[in-house]
Amino acid sequence: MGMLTDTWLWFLDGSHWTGDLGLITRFFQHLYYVLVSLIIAFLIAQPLGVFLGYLKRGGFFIINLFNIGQAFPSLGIILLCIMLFGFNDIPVFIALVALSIPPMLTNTYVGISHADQTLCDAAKAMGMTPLQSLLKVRIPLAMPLIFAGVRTALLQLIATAVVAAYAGLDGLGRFLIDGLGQRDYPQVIAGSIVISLLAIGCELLMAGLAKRWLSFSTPTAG
Amino acid sequence: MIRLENIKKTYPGNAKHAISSLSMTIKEGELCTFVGPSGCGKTTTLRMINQLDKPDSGEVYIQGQALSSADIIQVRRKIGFVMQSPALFPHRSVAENIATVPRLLGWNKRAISARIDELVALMSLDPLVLKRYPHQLSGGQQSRVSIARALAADPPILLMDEPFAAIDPVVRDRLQGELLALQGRLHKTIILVTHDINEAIRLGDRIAIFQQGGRLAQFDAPDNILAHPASDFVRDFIGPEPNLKRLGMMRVSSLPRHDVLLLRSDAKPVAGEYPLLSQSYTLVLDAEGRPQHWLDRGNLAPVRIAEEHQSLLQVYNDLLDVPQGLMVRVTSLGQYAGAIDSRLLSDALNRHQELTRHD
Amino acid sequence: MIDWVWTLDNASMIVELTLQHLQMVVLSLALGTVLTGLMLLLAIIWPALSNPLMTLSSVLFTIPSLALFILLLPWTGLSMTTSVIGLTLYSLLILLRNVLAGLQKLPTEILESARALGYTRFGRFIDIEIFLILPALFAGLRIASVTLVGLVIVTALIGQGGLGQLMILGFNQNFLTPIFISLGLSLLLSLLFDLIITQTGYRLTGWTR
Repeated sequence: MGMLTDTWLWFLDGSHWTGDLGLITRFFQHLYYVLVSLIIAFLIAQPLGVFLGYLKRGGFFIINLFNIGQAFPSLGIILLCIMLFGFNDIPVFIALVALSIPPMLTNTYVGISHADQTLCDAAKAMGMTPLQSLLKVRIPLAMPLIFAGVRTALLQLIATAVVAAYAGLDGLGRFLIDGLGQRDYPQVIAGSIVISLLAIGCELLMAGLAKRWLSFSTPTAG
Repeated sequence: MIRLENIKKTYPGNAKHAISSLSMTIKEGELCTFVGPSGCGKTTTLRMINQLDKPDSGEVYIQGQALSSADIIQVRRKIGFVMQSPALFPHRSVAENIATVPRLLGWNKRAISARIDELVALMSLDPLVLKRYPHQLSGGQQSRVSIARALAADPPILLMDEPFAAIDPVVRDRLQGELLALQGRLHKTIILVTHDINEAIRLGDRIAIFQQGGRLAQFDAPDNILAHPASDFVRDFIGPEPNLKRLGMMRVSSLPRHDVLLLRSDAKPVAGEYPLLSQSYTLVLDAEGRPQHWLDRGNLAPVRIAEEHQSLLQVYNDLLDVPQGLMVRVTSLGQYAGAIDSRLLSDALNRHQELTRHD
Repeated sequence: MIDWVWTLDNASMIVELTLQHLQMVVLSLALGTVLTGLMLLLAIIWPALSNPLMTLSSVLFTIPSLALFILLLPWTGLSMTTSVIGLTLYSLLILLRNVLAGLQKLPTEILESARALGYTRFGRFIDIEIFLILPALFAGLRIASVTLVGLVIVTALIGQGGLGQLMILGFNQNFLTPIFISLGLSLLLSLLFDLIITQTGYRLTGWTR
């Protein structure tokens, strides 16, 4: 178990925490990539999902897009984007955003289109305009699924950003890729531990928010 | 046959619906119905008989053997159980479903196949249904298969938990009749839980009316309960018009014969051997002895007839249509067999009361 | 975009890598299914295990795959063993989640009627529960197989990788063709697995039609 003690020692080394190549910097870099991609994807996927879900159009296309998205290895997409569009951050962002849209789009679409019909009819009978029924009834009803979609996308992003380090992206993945290249295993393991903690932490946060905001249970869809 | 002794049961967090101390004996070969308001413990009591639920204290004896010390798996294989939902195994065909307990008991293939044929005839199932899967059957068919499955190993005891509750009224009526016919042939010991007092009255040899707390408000033959409800609770529970319900349980054939003045078509009077109901009207019979019309002070009036198998409730209802207040009993060939008026009906009710009081 | 000459020249390498990819997925799926069966048995014998198991598998599932593989490093190094263990773990996580959900959704009246008819606990499992869980298992197998195809690519970063190696090759040489080939082939593999599993599942669950 020498490797574990070495990893522990690696953590104890202060220089590994600070500076441009340190844990703290890279942690925030990782968060930066994840959150920016998430927000952009969110801004694209949600309105589209709500719109299409309300009209109940394009469901077939969306579901299949989702399935294909799941089947495509994210590493491949990222490498492809970089090679096609150049060796900087923008292509990676494009890939990250593209990969996060399907889960959110699918979940939102399903949530809006399959909202309890009796409740929507009740809203119509009460005299709500389509927009009002959308805002006041459909979207709240779809919240568990919409939230589940964001949750899935978030975790997917954290994981993909790790792998994207291979393509040159900064962030926590760097510890893994560089470490593997340098055969510096304590670095690699330490990086993995931090990434795992980040992922688990986000998952727990989302679960807690789900319980707090959504009084009904969150389905695991998408 | 089945004896419950001092059964107590409580549910955690639900003190109101406990069973405080229940003792009862169910006789061999009787069809006993359990009724009561929801939460009274009737279903739980039923389920304690095949130990799907266990009493906290007290004992259940089946044919003298205490359940707590028995091999419950073997006991269950000798008790048929039917629930509200048919609960057929979806991954098995109808035939395989029916064969479940015989297979568990190790019957050979030929015996199982023969038994399935018997049951198909018994339960009026279409043999084509045997190869199909449960989801392809209608609700009524599934119910029949469920009962066939329960009867497959020919168990002496049959437990039924609201078996017809989810069936539509027309089919339900038919299934109730089929159950009665079945019991007439098989003479099993059947306990049936229902929330419908009319179903309980129709089916039960004895009815156990449960109150909150698993208390037995009354446990007796339907006619006794209707005629002599033991408490206000029972009185409320059996519902309004108990006498009408009792009439519904009696047949014309049980009435003593009474006559009226008779005239044959050739105007010759016919002597009746039985007491006369009324002197005001004369009935005219044709050459074969069939009633033709009434003679009322020289006027002709049409005749209403009552057949031997009809219920007295129906007769009572029809009597209200007849201005003379008299109906004519006829045999299956349509021949005169006596007359009926409302006084006769209420005598029958009262006499029935006296008869049953001496039971 | 695709250099077919290069493709033909390197056909044997591509085939070999595809086979390696296939092997890793099939092996991990098989091991994962067996482990899931064991876990299922445990969850049935001790129903209290069901929820903690689900929570644990959910938590493990959130960890990015590369990190998970690497966490196995201290024990198994950077070998095929690491990859297979990691992949098996992932398939176990996916299958278990589906199977446990299927278990919780089993219609209670059917199980109760089985109990009332006189089935022993074990008999009920063998004769009834296993069959009723099959649809959930196959749904899980579909997801697991597609996910595994993608995960094997990630194992390229720790030295195995099947088709993932083509991607790395292409990236290092700034050559698009291997990347397209590997993307296309992994897509094909996913579809193949999905098809086979769906068909098998369809055959075995004839009663749902």
